[in-house]
Amino acid sequence: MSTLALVASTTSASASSSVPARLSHASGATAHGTDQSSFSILLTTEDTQTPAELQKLATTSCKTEAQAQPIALQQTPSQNIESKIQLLASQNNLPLMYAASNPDIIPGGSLVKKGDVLNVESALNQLGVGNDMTPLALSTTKAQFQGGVPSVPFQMNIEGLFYNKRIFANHHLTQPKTFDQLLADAAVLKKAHIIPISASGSSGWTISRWVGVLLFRELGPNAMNLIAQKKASLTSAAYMTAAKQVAQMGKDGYFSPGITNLSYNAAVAQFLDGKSAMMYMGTWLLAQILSSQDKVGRDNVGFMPFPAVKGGKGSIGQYPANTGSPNVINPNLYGPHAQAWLKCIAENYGSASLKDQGVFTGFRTNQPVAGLAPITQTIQKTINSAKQSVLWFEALFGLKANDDASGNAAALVTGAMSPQQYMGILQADQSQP
Amino acid sequence: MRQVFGNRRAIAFFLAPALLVYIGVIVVPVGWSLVYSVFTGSPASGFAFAGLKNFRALFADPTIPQTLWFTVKYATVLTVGQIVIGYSLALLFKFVLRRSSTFIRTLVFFPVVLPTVAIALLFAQLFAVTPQAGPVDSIIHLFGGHPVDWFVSGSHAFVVIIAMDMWRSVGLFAVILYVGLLDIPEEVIESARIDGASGFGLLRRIILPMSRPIVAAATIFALNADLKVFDSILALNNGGPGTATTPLNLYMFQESFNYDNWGYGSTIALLITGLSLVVTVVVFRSLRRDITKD
Repeated sequence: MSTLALVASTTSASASSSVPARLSHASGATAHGTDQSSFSILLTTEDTQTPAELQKLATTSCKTEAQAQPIALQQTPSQNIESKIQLLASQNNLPLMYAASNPDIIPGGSLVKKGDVLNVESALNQLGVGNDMTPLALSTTKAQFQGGVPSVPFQMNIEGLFYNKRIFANHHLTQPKTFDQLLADAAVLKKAHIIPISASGSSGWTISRWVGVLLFRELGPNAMNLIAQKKASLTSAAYMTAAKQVAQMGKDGYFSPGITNLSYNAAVAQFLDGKSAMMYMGTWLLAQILSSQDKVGRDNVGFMPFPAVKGGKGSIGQYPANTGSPNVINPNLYGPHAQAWLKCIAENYGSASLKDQGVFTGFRTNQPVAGLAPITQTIQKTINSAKQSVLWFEALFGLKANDDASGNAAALVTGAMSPQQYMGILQADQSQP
Repeated sequence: MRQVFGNRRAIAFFLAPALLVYIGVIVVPVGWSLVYSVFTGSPASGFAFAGLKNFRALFADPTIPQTLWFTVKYATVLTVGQIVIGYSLALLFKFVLRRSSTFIRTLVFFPVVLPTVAIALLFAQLFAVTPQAGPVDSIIHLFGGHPVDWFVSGSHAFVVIIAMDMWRSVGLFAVILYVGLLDIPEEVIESARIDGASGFGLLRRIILPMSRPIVAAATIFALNADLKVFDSILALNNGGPGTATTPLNLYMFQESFNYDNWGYGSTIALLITGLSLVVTVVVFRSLRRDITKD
C-alpha cells in the first residue's frame, strides 16, 4: 500500500505563479535552518514507494547530495504516526522530513503555528525549480491544504474504479456511465457469484470514499466545502442520500464478504487475484498492479471514472485527486545540504518514479520514460485530460471525524449502523469547536 | 532490630528511596494528569486553561456511557471467567493431577508469556471469514452452519475478545490460586476428611473459606487489570466496529494522542481511576470477612 487518507480537491488545474518570498507564519515557514549530519525521514510504514525511490535517487541522480547528507529513514504505522509526530514536536525533535496529518499543517494548524512546516512552494521557487512542480499538483495541494503548500508532492493521484476487464467481458458488461448502470452491473456479478466490489473494513476509507464520491456526483464539487464552512449538514436529506445508497449496496451484498476485519492488503489481493470485479482506489495502486505476480495480469486491469448520477450536479469528468500522503519539511533543519536534496528531488523524482514504479508524481518528468504499461498510459492520459478535480470525502474533516468516517464505514455497509447514525456521528464531530 | 524500627531517622532512611520512586512514577503523573484535565490542547499546539469544560464534555459525550458500559461488562464477564476457570484449574492441579500437574500447569500458563499483539493476530485469523475462512468458521461450516462474520457487530466481537483474553490470562490466575491452595495446611484437609467431609462439602466448608484471601486478591487484581484493558482490543479490532467494543482506556488514548485532546483524555483517565478505586474498595470490603467467624 502506498498512500492512505490523502486526496485533494481543486476547482481549477491552473497554478498560481506568484509566490510571496516569505509567507505569513500561519501558512508555512521559509526558514533557513541548520543541517543535520543525515537526511532524517519519518514516514508511515504503509508508504513503501517514497522511501524506495528516495533510496534509489541516493545512489543515482542525487548521489552527491546523499554523500553530503545520507538518508536516515524511520517508519511508523500510520495509526501511530500522529501521536509520534506530536511527541517529537513537543520535544522540538522532529526529523528533516516527516509524514503529518492534514489538520496540523494547513494554515493555522498546530505544527504550522509552531514553525515546523516549510512552505514548499516558496522553497522550490527560491531554489529555482518552482516550475518542476506541475500546475495540477500545485493547485491540488493548495486545495488540499486550504491554500498552503506544506507538502512535497511525491505522488499525483486521481481516484476512480479499477476493474477486471476479463470479468467484465465474460459477463458482457461495459464501463458504466451512470451509477444506476454500475448497480445493475454489480447485480449481474453478484448473481454470477463474483464479488462485485472489493473494499476493506479495517481501512474503512476504502468504503467511505464511496459516500464522498457519490456526494460530489449528486451535489457537485462544492459539496464538502459547504460542510467545512458549516453551511450544510451531513444529516440533511441531500447528504443522507449518499450514505443510504452505500448502505443499500452493502445490504445487497456488493462489497467483500467479511468486510469488517478485512485488511487493506487482503482487499487489494482479492481484486488482483481476480476474485472481485471492481475496486474504488487511487492511482497509487498502479505500483502494486505493475509489480505484483497477480492472477489478473496488468493488461487485464482497467481504470474508469466514477460514473455520473442521473440528475446530479457533478459530472463524470471530475476526479478526486491528491498529491500523496503529506510529507513535510522541517524548516529548522533545512540547511544548505537539505536544500540541495530538495532541488535534486524536484528535478529527478518525477521521471525516476514513473520509470521505476510506474507512479505519477507532482513533479515534471524531465527525462522521457518509454515502455509504459497500457494501464499506466490510460491513467497518464486521464490525468493530462482531467479538467477539474474534486475533494475526497474526509479531506476537510478534523482528526476525529476523519477517524470516525473510516472506523464506522464497515458498520454502515454491514447494517450494524444506520446511515442516520453514521452521518450523525460525523456531523457531531464536525460541529465540535 | 527493635531499636532500628524505633528510630524515626532509620525509618525515613529505609523508606525514602522507595517513597521517592513511588512519588516520581505514580503520584506526580497522577497529579499532572489531574492538572491537564482543566486544560485544553496538546504539547505541540500549547495548552489553555479550560476550567471545568472537559468535565462538562465528559457528561455530554454520548460515547462515554457506551465505552463505560462496555468496560464494566468486559471486566465483569472476564473477571468471573478468570476466577471461576482459574480456581477450577487450581483445584484440578492440587487435588486431581497433584504432582504430575507440572506439565499441564506449564501448558496453561504458556499463553501468559506470549506477546498480546501476537495473540490478537492469532485470534483475528482464527475467527476470520475472508480472504480465507478461519478454523472457527470452517468448523461451523463442517456442521452445516453458515459462516459468521465475527467482527460485524459489537456483540459478535465481544465473544471473540472474551475468548481471546480468557485464553491469554486464565493461566496466570490458575497459578496464583494454585499457590493459594498450597498454603492450606494438609493437616486441616486431612482432619476434615477424617470428620467425614469430602467432595463438594470439603470444597464449600474448608477449601473455599480458607482460600478466601487469595481469591479476594486475585479478584481485585483481575478486575483492575480488566478495567484497564487496552492492547489486546487495539490489536484485534481497534475497538470496532465504530466504538462498539472500545473500552475507556482505548477511548482515552484516542482522544489524547490521535485527536490531540490531552485535557479531555486526562479527564477520561480520572474517570478510569475513580472506577478502579470504587471497584477495589467494594470487592475488598465484600471479601475481607474474617474466616475465623465462619
